[in-house]
Amino acid sequence: MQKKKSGIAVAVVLAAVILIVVIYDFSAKKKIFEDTDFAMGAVISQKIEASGGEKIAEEIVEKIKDVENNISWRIESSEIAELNKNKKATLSDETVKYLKELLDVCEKSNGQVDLTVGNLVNAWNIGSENFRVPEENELETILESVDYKKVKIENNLVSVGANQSIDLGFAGKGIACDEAKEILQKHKAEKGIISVGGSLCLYGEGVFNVGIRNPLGDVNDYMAVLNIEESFVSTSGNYERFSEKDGKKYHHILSTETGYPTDNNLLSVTIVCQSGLLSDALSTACYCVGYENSLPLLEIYNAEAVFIFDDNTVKITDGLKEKIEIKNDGFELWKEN
Amino acid sequence: MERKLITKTDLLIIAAVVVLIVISFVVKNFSGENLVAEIYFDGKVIESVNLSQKEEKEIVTGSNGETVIKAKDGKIFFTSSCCPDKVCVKSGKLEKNGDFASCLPEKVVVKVRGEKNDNIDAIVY
Amino acid sequence: MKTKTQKIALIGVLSAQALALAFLENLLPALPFLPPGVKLGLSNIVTMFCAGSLGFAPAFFVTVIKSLFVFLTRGATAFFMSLGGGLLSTLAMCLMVKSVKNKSGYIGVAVVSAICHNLGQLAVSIIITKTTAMISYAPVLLISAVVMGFITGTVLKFVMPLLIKQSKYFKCL
Repeated sequence: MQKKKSGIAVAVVLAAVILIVVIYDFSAKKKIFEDTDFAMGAVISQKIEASGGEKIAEEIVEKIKDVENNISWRIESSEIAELNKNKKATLSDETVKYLKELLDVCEKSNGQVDLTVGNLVNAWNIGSENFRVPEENELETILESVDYKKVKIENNLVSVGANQSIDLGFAGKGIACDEAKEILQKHKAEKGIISVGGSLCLYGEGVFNVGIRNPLGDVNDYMAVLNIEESFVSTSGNYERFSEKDGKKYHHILSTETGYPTDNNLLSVTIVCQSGLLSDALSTACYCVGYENSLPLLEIYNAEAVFIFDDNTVKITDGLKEKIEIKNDGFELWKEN
Repeated sequence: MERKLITKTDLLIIAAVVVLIVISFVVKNFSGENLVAEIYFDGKVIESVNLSQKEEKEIVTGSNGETVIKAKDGKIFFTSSCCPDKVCVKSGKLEKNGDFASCLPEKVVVKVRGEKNDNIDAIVY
Repeated sequence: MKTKTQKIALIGVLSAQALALAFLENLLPALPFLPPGVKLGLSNIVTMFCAGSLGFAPAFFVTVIKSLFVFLTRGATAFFMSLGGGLLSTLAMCLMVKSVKNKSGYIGVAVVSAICHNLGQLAVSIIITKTTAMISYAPVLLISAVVMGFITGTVLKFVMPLLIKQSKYFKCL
């Protein structure tokens, strides 16, 4: 009798213990490598699920620094700096590839984004110590030099117009995201979330929950969540980088028509698509051309977008309709009748 | 040494341990999050501060060694920095899992980390 | 009756058996769902037998020999971990055997010693790494100690006659 009772007790305790082990195992977080670093004048945040995640993260940061050293005009030894200086240069296959893709975006947006805005960006220096508001006639002269059509590419030989200088700032972070994905793929990582100054590379199976920053709030405040699969996400907004003078705010997205910061009813545009370069370039392009003109552009590149307007309404493209949740009551999803 | 495989005393001991285990899990999950703020300089963690225990600390770091970060009342924030735009100071106080602020010119990042899963994976900005 | 030489010989044989069990355990494939650091602790069977049937001195002797073996094969850090866990668990066994006498069964002794083994290792790891982060791992270690204690206690019950027979061969029982 005694024996039987204790036998049952043993079985019960054993079962309870095994149950706890199993529950713990399921609730345990998977090992994810997280890393924070600097490159391209931005914070690189990485979450990588893979064996050897640390090595992969290091390789990604190295690669992003390499890209920066190739395409940033601020770095004297870069290919773009050489091109800007000599107006003609033989560039690497990689850089030529970026230029071709970006020229295509310039063309499709009718020059509303333009990679020859170097002089304009340099005249303003928005977000830096050297910020100043250029004179009207100065801007007029500079705008004459802004014309992507003067950029000629023959094999690897690239030339620009006499007064032109190229600035790839509107796509650099996206390009970095593309390179990050390639490295994740090469190492067969299971999952990776790479943020290059807020532009995201989402890699791996499953759904990612991406917060869209509240354009009116601070850095950690998001107003909506996108539930999306593997893709690239990028946002352009007037809050990103700006300078102030005489109580007036000047944000960093410059209009190629007026030479002044783009002035429309948009607070931010977020792009979701399958290329980092495109997500970044399109977010700038769509911000510049506005909602209506963005739609054909998005169609061409098979991209989805979230537009946030200054009256706190939100418009989204069809592909994201089922995938967005507004988290902040201050914003309202715009509904068509 | 002749003894039984298992006795009532054993069961009592084991039951006590199981209760202890359950309690430790409950405490872990309901005592609020264990929030830790990590301060990075140039991509490396130089300091971590336990926010849940309301640890108070002042950290001075940055490329120029003049960026001041303060932890108080379970919050952490930049108090001053020699950078031109002061984006870091304007980022406000960080207090929940996933909160993040950075001073790019000074290469300083502050991140708050908890044990619970974040409800979002990343913020696009 | 027994001579000192016979006792030394028996302890030598038991130490070798403990090492063999530890080695055997390493050969088993790591189960993917088990958290790292969770081990069966088969060599505890030998130490428990020592503590229960031969006395405390032989139990500690076997424990230290085992740790020295770990030192030779896996280095200093592993040695301190093994020693910390081993000494604490052996101490617990001795206390269990002495105080609760026959009120506690094999599983009881095994579970308590396994818990102490894991806690000892945890303490050493905290001292070595100078961080308390590992403490959050304690619940997992407790659970594994209970499960592994059940297994080693049961195994001990069944190999007991053999171990007694072996000791009688050395005229130590």
